[in-house]
Amino acid sequence: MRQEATSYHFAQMKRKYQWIRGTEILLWALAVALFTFYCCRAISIAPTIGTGIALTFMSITIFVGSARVHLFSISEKDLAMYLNRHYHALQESADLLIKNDEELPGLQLLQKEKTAQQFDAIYPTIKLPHHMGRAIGIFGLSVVLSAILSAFSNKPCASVEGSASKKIMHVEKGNLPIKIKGSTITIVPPAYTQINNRSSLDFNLKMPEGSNVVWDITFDEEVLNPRIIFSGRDSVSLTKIGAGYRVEKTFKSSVFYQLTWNNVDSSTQYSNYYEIEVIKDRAPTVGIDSLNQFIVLNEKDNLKINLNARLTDDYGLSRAKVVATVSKGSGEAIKFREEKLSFDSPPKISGKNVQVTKILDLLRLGLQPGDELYLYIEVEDNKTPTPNYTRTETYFIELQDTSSTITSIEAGLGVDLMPEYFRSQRQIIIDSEKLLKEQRSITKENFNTRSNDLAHDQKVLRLRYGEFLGEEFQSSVGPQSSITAADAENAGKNPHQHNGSASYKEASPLDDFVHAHDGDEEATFFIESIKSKLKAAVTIMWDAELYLRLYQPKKSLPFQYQALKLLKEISQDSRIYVHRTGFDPPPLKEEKRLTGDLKEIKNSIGEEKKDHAKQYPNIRAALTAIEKLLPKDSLMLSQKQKDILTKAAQELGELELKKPGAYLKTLSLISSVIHNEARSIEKKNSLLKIRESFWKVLPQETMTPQSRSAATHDLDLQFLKNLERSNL
Amino acid sequence: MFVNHPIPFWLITPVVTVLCIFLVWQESKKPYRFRILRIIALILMMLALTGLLFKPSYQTKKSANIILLTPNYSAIKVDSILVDHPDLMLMHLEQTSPYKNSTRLFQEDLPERANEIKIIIGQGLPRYLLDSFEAKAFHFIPGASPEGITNLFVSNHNILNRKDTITATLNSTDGKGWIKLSGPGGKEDSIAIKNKGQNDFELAFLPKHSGEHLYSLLIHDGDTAYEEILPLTTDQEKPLQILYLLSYPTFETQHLKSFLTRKNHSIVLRNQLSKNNFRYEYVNHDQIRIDRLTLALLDNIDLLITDGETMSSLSPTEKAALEKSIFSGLGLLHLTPITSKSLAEFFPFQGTTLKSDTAIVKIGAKSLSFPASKLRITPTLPTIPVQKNKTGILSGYTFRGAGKVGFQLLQETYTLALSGDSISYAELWSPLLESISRSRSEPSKIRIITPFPWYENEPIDIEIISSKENISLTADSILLPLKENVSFDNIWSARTWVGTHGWHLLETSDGTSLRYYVSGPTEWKSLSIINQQNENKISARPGLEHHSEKIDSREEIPPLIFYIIFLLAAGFIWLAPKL
Repeated sequence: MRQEATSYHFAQMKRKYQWIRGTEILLWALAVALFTFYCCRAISIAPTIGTGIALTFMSITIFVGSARVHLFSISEKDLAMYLNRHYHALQESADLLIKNDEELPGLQLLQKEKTAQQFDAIYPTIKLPHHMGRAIGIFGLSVVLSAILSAFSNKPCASVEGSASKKIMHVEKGNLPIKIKGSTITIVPPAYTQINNRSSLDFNLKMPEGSNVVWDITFDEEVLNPRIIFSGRDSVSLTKIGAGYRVEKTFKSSVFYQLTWNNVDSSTQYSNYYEIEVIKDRAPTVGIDSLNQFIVLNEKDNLKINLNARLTDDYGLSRAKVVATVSKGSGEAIKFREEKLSFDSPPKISGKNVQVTKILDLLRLGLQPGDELYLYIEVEDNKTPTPNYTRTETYFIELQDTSSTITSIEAGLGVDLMPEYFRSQRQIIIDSEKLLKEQRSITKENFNTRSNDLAHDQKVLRLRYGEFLGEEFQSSVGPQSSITAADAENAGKNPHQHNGSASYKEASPLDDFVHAHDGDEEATFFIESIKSKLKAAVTIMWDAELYLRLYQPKKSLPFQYQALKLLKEISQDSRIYVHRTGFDPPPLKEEKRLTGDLKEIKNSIGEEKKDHAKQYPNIRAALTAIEKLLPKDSLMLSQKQKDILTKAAQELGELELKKPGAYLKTLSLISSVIHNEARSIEKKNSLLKIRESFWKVLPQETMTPQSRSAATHDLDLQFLKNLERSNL
Repeated sequence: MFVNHPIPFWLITPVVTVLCIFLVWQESKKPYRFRILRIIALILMMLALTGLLFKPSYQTKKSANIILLTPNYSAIKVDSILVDHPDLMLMHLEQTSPYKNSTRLFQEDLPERANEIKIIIGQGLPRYLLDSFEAKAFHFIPGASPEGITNLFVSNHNILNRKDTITATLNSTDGKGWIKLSGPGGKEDSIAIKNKGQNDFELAFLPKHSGEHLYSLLIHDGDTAYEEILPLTTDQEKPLQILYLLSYPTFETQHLKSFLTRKNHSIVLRNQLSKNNFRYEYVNHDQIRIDRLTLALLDNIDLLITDGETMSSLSPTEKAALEKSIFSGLGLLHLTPITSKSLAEFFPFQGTTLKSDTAIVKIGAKSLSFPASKLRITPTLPTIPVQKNKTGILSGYTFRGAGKVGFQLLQETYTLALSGDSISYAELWSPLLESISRSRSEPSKIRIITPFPWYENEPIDIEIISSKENISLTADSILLPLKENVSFDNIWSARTWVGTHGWHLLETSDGTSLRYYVSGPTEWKSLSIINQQNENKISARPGLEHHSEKIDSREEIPPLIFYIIFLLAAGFIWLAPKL
């Protein structure tokens, strides 16, 4: 029984040892792997390769560690030895515990019995050897070091050359043109983009705007005058450096290029066409959250506007401001004050994606009732030397003036044409309210007379505004006799039947002061919204006047208020009108109008030659040439055909610049066909593909009538002659 | 008596003789009845066996008429003919498989025996062989229709930037698949094959460039796929000479003028500004006097566009010149209808007046509404409509001699172009203007009579209509001999053989030319067979002559006789011991 318990305890100890030591090794391995991975990242080794290296080191650590601590080879004998060395109470007899009783002589059995008692006593206190604390410490240290190294892994390189030299990759052999032994293409993006330098594995390049590209090319054989032709036009010679050649160039727009060199036998060789796609630095974008473009506020409203916006850019933002313009005054005395305000949060604009806020205190900006605030946000990115600029639409905030009296809409026109004895709409309202208050204290006749007088004032005001709408009637201004009840009734039934009234035919005293045109022409001074508001105001004045004529000022009052509100709005609109135009139409020569004099009009002759040449003449010529070539068994191009294809390639090159990448393959095919680099069957396929591209380039035009033609036989002519004779 | 000996004679004769002697000796030893009869039966049996092996035939007199087997003939049809006409001789052409002892007929012997051929069965004889027949007194019985394209129509005058079509018929074996038309720019149109047998189809293409182009018809019929090269020519744009005479300018006419100007047409315009004042405009045209309409002026014009008021103001001399010019080919287009009876000859249309002043017309797939004259032209036989709806004809024309008089009742069509639909605007006006305009006379016209496809080293027949007496024709710069038609003057014919496939040129001495494409040897075989069958059908004359002269012929003794003798003799030998 005791034997079984002892064996069980030894097995437990063995498992415990393996667990502890296993964990310890794992921590070591993880620490090594983490550290190795971030070291690789720090020296810009690709993540996949870095991961591979880290896993290798991790495996080595596990393997070595396991072997060193006998993780899998530990036996009960080893444990017994450990106990003998470290626990003297067992009297160097722990190894007896793992032996069977049958194998032991009597004396040893006695000793085993004794040792087993001791073992049972000390078992709970047995501590197996381990360095767990050290392992945890190493793991923690490696985490800290990794964190430090990770900070260096994406650091932008201030030094272009130094960084480029660290991770040069050569162009893959399969991508190299023939006769080129090796090539390294280094792309150095502008510093403000914070993009690392890189080497391209391909001759087709894609890079940010303003990047500098360095080509280092070595040839298989000796070559003469190697150069790169950009977009089929500009060529740049390569400079010999050591065994190879080098050229560098900065690109601001997409191009395509081709390598060319002369062989020793003075033949010229061309590579395929390759594309350089330049990714333009986009202008920043601004999105303003929850702000209406037109805001009208009263003095009682909250005059602090919360402005929230999200600013984004592809590489980074550098500056953002709120441009606020306060507009004050009326008529010709309008004044503008512009302020550039910084955002409250964040105080400094930087990063690719920024959420900005600004509380606009209208009172602090100096806005008073009747004033307007125009604001927009302008943003610049970090592009050098000239940053990209974006601005938002203009937002309008209007602080309404409810106290001022509008007497004339001409304020906006710059000339106040309103005579003093005109009562304003507000005055008519005040008088109407006063009349209603005094209704009980005055006689009915007096009430009616005063109501009629007010109606007259309302009429005069209406007529005055009507003039601006081009209404064809005018009326005398000044005291008028009260109208009869019949007239009033008439007015109530049909207020628009007014042309028969003699009073409208009298001349207006304003004629001498006003530059009167036909109504419609005058009306063209106003933009559509003002006209419609003015029309509405005049219509409402009709109603207001009607009830005053009917001696019902109480019913008239709501209409008067409506008219007043509209007139205020028109006044505000007319200010914007002043802002927009200052048009003064030239006066017409009245003496010449409608005379029907055509003496100065003579026969006129117009002649024009408009030869609308077809687009892409060289591509069309090349299409015809290819069609002639295709059915032939031998596809040897004549010099003339080569010239035609070369010119067509130039036209296609221009299209390639507008649409990068679309025709690059075709250009390469043309090059191979012209320089006889392809075999006959390949050449035929190339010609078919070239033909397809050319055809797709041709624009789709609308149909047009054509002149038909036919050969006429003598018999046809005879037939027509007979037909004509029979008709005659 | 003749023998056909597929097994060598020297081998059969001794074997059969030795076998016969041995069997007779054996039979004579047997102790059964009917010994003599058994020996005779045995000898007969051996003779029948020899007959089966030798296939003997005998000489007889037979009709000299020939049934000529050509490729793709139907054996059932041959048998049926032989039942009715057993004395007819069977012969087959060189590339044709023989049938029932038919003898081979070489092409060079064909002219000699042309008069004996009474029936041709199969795909017939090529045109150049048919020409060697003097009387062509034969019946033609066509073989089964071949798989593939059996009918094709393509216009010789495809027009630039205008949707043109090819119509064709496909004989499908599987009834499942598709046909794709590809042009220089890739796929143009396609259609699914839905039925077994004949499938009519139409495929559209839009030429963007003039000249000769090779299109291809890719046919997937079930599991088989093949490609046919389709040569298409697109004519260059030929601008018109247009004269506008208008009593007042309108935006409609100005816009039409701008549209035509953009397309490089020559335009001379006269707008009346007041009684004696005019506005003259010359676009792509030198300044000419157009105060008065004269025959000389109008002869250089393809199309006169005018309105009712201008027509009313023409003097009698001008009217006479205009009428004469229309008879000789001028086109006259009225933008407003004419109601005056004195001008009826210039507006020979019958119409009805409607209340509505708008019209809905269909242009392509779109239904569009335009302001229109209240008059609608009633459809009559001489009036050819270009645009019409339920209410009547809105634009159309009629012939006056060689010229045409047309009308356009739609108004304010410029709104279409201003709204951005310039394609519909062009589709509305182009067919009308083109139909009415003068057809320019060409000095000559070249036509290839031999139906497409044309092959290398096969004769191609050409016809020329020319007003010139001393016309000459070259094929790829080689002068061809011309033969004038015996019945009609100025109609000439020629024949050429082309050595290589591809594009070739026919050109007359007056500058008229025609480009044509000679197909590769594997292209358009089904169409070629159908063309050949059609030519044989046309050439064949009905009536089979039975009373022709007799010629010597060998007739094979039917093997069935030998077989029956063999069976009877063997049966008797087996039965005799049991009797």
